[in-house]
Amino acid sequence: MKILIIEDEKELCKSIVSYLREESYVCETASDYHTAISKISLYDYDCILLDITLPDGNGLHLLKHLKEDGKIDGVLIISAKNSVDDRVEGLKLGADDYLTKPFHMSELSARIAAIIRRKNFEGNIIIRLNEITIDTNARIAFYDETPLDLTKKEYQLLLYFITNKERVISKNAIAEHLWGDEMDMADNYDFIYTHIKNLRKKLLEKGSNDYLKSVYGMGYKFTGK
Amino acid sequence: MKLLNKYSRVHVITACIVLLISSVSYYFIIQNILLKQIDKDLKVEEQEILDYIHANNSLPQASDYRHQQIRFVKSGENIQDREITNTMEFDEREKEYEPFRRLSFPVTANNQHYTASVYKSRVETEDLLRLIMIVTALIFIILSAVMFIINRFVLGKLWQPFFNTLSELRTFNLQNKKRLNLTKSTIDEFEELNSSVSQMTDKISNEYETLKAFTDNASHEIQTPIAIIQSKLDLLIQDEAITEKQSKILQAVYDAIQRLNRLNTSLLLLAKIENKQYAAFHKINLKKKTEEKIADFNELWQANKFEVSCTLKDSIILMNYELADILINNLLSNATKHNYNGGKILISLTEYHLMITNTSNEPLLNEEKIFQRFYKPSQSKENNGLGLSIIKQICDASDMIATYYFNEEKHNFKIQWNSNR
Repeated sequence: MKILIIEDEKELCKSIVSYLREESYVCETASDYHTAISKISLYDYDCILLDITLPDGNGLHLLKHLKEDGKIDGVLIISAKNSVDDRVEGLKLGADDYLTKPFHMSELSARIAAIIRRKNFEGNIIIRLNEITIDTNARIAFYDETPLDLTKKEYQLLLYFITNKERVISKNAIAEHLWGDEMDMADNYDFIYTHIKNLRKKLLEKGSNDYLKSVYGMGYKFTGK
Repeated sequence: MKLLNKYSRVHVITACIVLLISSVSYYFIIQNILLKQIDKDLKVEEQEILDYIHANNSLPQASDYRHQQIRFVKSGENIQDREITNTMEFDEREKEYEPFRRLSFPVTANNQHYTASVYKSRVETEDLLRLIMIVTALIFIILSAVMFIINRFVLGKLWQPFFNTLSELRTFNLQNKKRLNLTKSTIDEFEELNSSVSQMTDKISNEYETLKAFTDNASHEIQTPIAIIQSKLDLLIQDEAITEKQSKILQAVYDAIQRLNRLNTSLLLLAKIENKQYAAFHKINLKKKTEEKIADFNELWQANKFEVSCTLKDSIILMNYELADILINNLLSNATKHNYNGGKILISLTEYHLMITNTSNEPLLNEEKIFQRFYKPSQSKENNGLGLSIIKQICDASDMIATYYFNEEKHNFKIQWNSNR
């Protein structure tokens, strides 16, 4: 899958590329308006990451350009928090989804995966990892064809982990994914532990391997190793 | 119309005084002139009499005309001085006393001393004087009436541009981005006023826009370094070679970045509310919104084994929907954070108020200080002391009142509003 990252902050761009490359995405970058325009016109991307806070209002210009070119499909806009106007404008122009800075890499990865699923397979995709199958349309997870009885949060957690498999995800990132940053409850790590414990138990009950590993009390990793 | 009244009053009083003084002076001056005219005639008569006596050494004939009389009276030993006086003489024809002016002087004729008196009627001059005064009084009345009309109507109209400017200023609103609509005036002072007012409001609008842009830019500027730090942390934790010691440090860094982020978001929110950037009001179904929020928190409350009881009545108010969201969120958040396992939360909503009550390990809070920024009853790292400030700011911006009281070991936060909305 090919991703174009339009971001003028070099370090942030580097972080994103580094993380996504591990997920086997092919990444290209553009740090200014003109490079972005030329890349967009030359290639088609499965997903475009656009920072609409590019200087000189270029972010929105690019978005409009993408819309005019009919390439608005699969655009994920990155905006600054509290800049509601930009965000609303972006979504109105047809962007698929938005993320506000700062965001966790794992969150970004999950959003990109969702966009690509929607774009390429109209959201009707089955994700498979060994014996675990997830029907993203019906929002049901199966182990070896048997449906797992998961709560909404446990399902979200499983999907999140599988999308970011083999990556260490911090507790903060998990909390933000499940409850958003509005909740302000992310400090309540015990709460997260409970959910993960339950998910792990339900998987193990079906005879699954123990995929969910905790990493030195810092986060968790869904790993087959 | 106070200025008009004040002006009219001063005007009228001054006019009265001036007119009074001038009419009185006018009266005496005219009278003086008229009398001097009579005196001149009297002196002519005097001279004629003296000439006659000098020529003939005898008295001329006395006369008694309507307007002039000449009399001679033997004066004996007492020689009276020459004098001019006003007298009243009886007029045979009119059968009443009439005013005269008399010039009496001593004469000698035929070795006999006489006092000669020449009388000239003052009737006509008196009539003239009276006429002049009447005309003057009429002029005064007409002048006053005209002044009054001018004051009431014309001045009122003249001041119209000023009142227009005033009403434009009253409805001026920074959020509207509309320029003032000031009517042009031919009066220099009002044109100057309008131009100064326009300049000032334009400047204010520009500064406001700059400030608003700054708020948005500041958000961008700060978020980016935070985003970079967080992204590097996300990458760092992927490294399998991290020791336990290092991972503890990393977790601490993560938490600190999260606090910084929340702090920044809260401060920006406060600035925006103060700056009236959430000025749009919407019709909010508070009951529905509160129920939604309660559903969000429910999972957390169950995990903490809170005893939650809600009494929600129908309640619709007018307020900014984003602020409503944040308000309820912050209230419930506080009730959750400052609570203990197995504690209680009570939520009550009516047409007039929303009240959140919670048990807590913390004792009575300082009612005056708690809504101030960064006031924290305990050095807890879990809250940044801005939550309640935000609640207060939202209330101020939404025409609501926030109060706190401690009762039966429980903290109560009450938000009240006028229900005619």
